Amino acid sequence: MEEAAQILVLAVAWGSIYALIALGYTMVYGVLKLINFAHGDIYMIGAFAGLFAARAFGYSEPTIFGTLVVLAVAMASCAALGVVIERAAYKPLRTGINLGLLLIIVAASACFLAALVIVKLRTTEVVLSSGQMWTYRGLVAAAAAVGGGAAWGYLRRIVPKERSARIFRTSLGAYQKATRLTALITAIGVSFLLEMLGIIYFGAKPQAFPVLIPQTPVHLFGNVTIARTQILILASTAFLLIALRIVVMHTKVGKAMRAVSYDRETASLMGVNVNSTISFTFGLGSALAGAAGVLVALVNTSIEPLMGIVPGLKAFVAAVLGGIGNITGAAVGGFIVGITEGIVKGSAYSSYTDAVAFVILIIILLLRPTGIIGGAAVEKA
Amino acid sequence: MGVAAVLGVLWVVDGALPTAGPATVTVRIANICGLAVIMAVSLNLINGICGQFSLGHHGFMAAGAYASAAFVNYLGPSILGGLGLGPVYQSHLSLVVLMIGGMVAGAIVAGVLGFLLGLPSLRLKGDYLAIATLGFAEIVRVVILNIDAVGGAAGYSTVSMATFFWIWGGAFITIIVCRNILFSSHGRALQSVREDELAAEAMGIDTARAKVSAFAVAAIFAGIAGSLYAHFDEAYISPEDFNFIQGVFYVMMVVLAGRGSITGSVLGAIIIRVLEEWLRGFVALPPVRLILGENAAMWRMVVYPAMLVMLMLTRPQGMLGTKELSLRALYKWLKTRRRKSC
Repeated sequence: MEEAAQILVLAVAWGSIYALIALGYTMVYGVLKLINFAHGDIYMIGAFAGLFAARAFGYSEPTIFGTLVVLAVAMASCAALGVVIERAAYKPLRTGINLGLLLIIVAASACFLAALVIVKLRTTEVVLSSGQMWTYRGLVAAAAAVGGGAAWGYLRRIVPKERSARIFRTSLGAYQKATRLTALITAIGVSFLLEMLGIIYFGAKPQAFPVLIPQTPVHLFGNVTIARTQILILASTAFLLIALRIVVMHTKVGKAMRAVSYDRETASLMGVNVNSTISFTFGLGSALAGAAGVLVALVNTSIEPLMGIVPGLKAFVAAVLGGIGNITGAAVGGFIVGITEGIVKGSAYSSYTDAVAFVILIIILLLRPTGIIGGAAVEKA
Repeated sequence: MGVAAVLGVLWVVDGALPTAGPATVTVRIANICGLAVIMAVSLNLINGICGQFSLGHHGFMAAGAYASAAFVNYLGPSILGGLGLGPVYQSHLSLVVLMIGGMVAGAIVAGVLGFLLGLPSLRLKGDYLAIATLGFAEIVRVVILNIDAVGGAAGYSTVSMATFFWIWGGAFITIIVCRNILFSSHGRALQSVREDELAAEAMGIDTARAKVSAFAVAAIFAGIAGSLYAHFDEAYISPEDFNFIQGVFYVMMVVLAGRGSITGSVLGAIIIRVLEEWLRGFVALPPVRLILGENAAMWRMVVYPAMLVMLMLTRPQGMLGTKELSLRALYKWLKTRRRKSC
């Protein structure tokens, strides 16, 4: 009995984490009908942002103020990152991309890199063989050619006519299916990119997160203990869930979010700035994922760049379980997945813990694809 | 006929290939490309021709690889003994028998799994199907991780016998079969499911059967690719070889050169694998190392997702879209060019 209670306590803590991440998935799906694969990696970035904040402010022993500051910094950075990702990668899928500008950016980066190499060659003692020098000269010449050509083309309007020509416009109806898969593949690409950049800049080895919450457990009843970190997770999740509900139900932006997820075209007709709303939604969801990242880092005290893949997928399962697009559903789904996983982990089949979430996914998709709380799905004719 | 002739040519080429020296690196790259070609062409059957979105193709490869390795390791000696061929390295014929047996084992296991995965696909669309297939591949990996009879997390060693002939022979067969499927009435059924499933149902096409068969056939070839991979080079497989990142590579190959184009998938597979090797050398160049710093080697992994995102933003249908590269089309295109200049 007490063992069961202990397992339950642990499971609820993990359930809260999944709930926080799942909320981001579900909100983005609601407004964009896109499964943001990169969400798990934003959770990872949140953990690292918290780590760098803790280092910058010099927090290494347990402080409540320190924890709050670290949480705030992580949430803010993740929100910003979420907005940047949306603007750079997902918005062009809706509105098209400016090919001329893209070429200019590529060419400018190439020239910048070439200049950087020249500077570094002058300042370091590296001696290159003649073959390598010629390769390098060839690369510089190619970059200059591309840059010059792009600039000339852009200025001469050879690249399509209007200044901000949009290629690849999405359109509703027949192309909607292809567009959603395109968006999904783009999301996969962004996720991959974040993971690789994480490995490059943070190193593939796990790093230690400072212990900002004392690890002494608190006794509940009998032999059941709960770590202070788990209390923090539960408290923060409760607070964030309530805050989110207030934002979504009682503010104007929240209303805009609900309108856009209900019907994007009509919402824009009613005067809602759809692009800003979508960016805001992304920022909000990412902030929650960042918070989840810091909370997990506080518990596990060890973070690594690939930590976001598996929790991201499990949180997606949670979002689907509760009905994707449905905020309460995401929270409920998160707790259910967390508890089920906890039970499996405590049982004899603990090595299959990671497979639990996917089994739940397949079962729920087969039996009730709209999720526990989701409404009826409209089959597009 | 033609097939036998090509296989004969491949056999001869295989015999002529060097087994030592610097050229073996090129041969190894060619073999890696061959494996990728099989995976890309078979994945194209699901993603491109049938229009479903499967992210879990590496799961079939894993199943095929482990099935083949287990078959060769556990059943190999008894089969060879039964045929009176003696232990493995004694004769060429015994290797041939083992390889064929391994491929069949891999194909059967993967095919069954593909059929099983095809069933949920009947109810799932787009994003959900992608995640479900991804989850399936993860389940396969976790299950294999837990089976100690095939080594589990420590990996599994088997006989190394997949040479150029086997790999490119397999690739050739895969391309032939997929091409025949594509240009048959069955292929048209698959394409109609891709274009508009409801209309296809209305026209009397059994979409359920089409989708499940696409999954099953693609899985069979992925299983063959897996078994070839298991016996390739150092013939050592571990569940980590079949993780999500590898799976994304195969999806990238299909997406790069066009979903629905067989020549496209072949091109995509070769381009991605060659790019991988080229990048390895590129980031070792001193000027590049200067800019990138100590972590230079990891920067090559940034190229793929950046390329994928750029591709999706500028040309989502891939290089070839649903068209195929053919000599006839090239000739016609040249003719129109000439006429324009007159």
